[in-house]
Amino acid sequence: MDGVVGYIVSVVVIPALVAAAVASIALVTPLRRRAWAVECFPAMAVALAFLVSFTNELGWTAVARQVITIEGDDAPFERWHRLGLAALMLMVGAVCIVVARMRMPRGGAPIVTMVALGIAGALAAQFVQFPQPTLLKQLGLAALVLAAGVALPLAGGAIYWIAWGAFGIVAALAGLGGFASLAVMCGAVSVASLLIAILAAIGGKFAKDAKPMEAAGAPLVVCAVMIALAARCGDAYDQSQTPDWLWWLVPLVPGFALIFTKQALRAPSIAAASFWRTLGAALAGVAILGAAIALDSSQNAGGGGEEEDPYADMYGG
Amino acid sequence: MAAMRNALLLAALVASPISLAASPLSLSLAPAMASAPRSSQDATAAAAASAITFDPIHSMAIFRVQHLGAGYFYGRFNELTGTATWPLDDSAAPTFDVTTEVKKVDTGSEKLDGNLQGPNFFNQAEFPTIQFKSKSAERVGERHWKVKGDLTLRGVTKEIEVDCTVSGVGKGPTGQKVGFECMFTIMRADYGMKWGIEAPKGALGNEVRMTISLEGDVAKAAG
Repeated sequence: MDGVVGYIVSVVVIPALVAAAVASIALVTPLRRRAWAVECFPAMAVALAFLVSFTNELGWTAVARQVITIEGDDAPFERWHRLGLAALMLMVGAVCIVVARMRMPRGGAPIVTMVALGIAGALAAQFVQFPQPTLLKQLGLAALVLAAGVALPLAGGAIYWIAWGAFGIVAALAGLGGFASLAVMCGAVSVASLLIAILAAIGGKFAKDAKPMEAAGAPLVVCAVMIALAARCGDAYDQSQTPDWLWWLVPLVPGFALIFTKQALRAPSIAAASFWRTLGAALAGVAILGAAIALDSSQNAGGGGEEEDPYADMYGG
Repeated sequence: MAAMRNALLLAALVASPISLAASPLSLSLAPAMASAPRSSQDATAAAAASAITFDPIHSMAIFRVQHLGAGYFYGRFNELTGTATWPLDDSAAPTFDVTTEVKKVDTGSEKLDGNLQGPNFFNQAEFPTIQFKSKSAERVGERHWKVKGDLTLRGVTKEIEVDCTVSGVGKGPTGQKVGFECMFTIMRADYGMKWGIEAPKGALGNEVRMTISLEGDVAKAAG
């Protein structure tokens, strides 16, 4: 197999298919009638897509190195490798959130989601630090997780469609910024989210009493944390001219589903409502991406032409 | 004569603790004292070993790596800094302490420079410098040495052997200059730089050949 094709299969296609397989356990089987399954499996699958892509590229040692000392391992500790561990923790966290929400009395489930989001934001700020961390940056990361958690519920049933777009934007920005690994990992999550959204639509059409997809509980926390971490990571290592504020806008993309709220509420079907919500977020995503490309191009164009030789005066000496 | 005068001056200063403690010169003399030789024979050799400060404008490193299993791709690190010691009569081995900043990588393409500075390659945000510090040397021929030392790249330090030739001793408007050309080969995966070796397979080679050209100013003898 061609090197690049083999690479894409290994770090994008296989992780997305593995994630889709896990999500399909709940989406296209009789479990589709169980709210806990519809909440748990797809949420775990999103984190799993990132984890499989991460380990296919860097190996399990890159995750294990975060928590234990491996004999004979002299590879450098790199801060961004913590994303792999974060994805693993989110898989465990998704199960815990689902269990906690099930055990709560009626009306208590949203409290579990809010508490889980708060804990996830605090843990992210404490344990996921990128180069030159400052208190302000870490507080910013926690705020970004919370902001994504507030924006995502606006996606409603279109959460995985919108996750497809949001992770796709991070992947594109990371590619623009010269961070190929983050680009393919977010690409894997983006494709996985798309497959989950398609499976959810198909399963919902054919299963009787199918539980709808909701931007709440485990999917909300997993997607909010992962989008915020990926965007912050991309920003920290960015080598392009993309300004920080554009990166920080990405976790808020799901909130732009609000643009077509009227149309979504009047839509004749869930699928139509999802379309309108996704369209709003997609427009925001395209605007962010367009701005990043335009800024990068203008900066490069500005620096082009015949550059003055800074050492010109040295040759005569 | 100048070297002997310096050695005598140093001996006089060492013998006078009052002058050292009281004088602001004590700070600048401290490194010289730490490496002060014990015997007079050593003193002569050490005095003869010239301190060389590299001129970043005329010092650079060129790397070569195979692209897609086909052609060799060349890039360079501009503005190497650091110091060396070497007696101009080649009576003893040179020592090196050379550093470059990852952001000085230059491939002729800003886009590619950005990629190389990113986490898949040199990871400039976390590991901003690359350093080589020599530990020992073995003579190969006239003005030709095999220098062993530690290369620190991406936070990983490994011992390497560098083939080092004195390219010349010349004179410029600012004084005497010495040039070195050093070559070595590393496996980049040893330093955690694995992107493009296995994934995507064969995109970029593992073996990186480095050619380093250093030019430095010989410190003028005091007095």
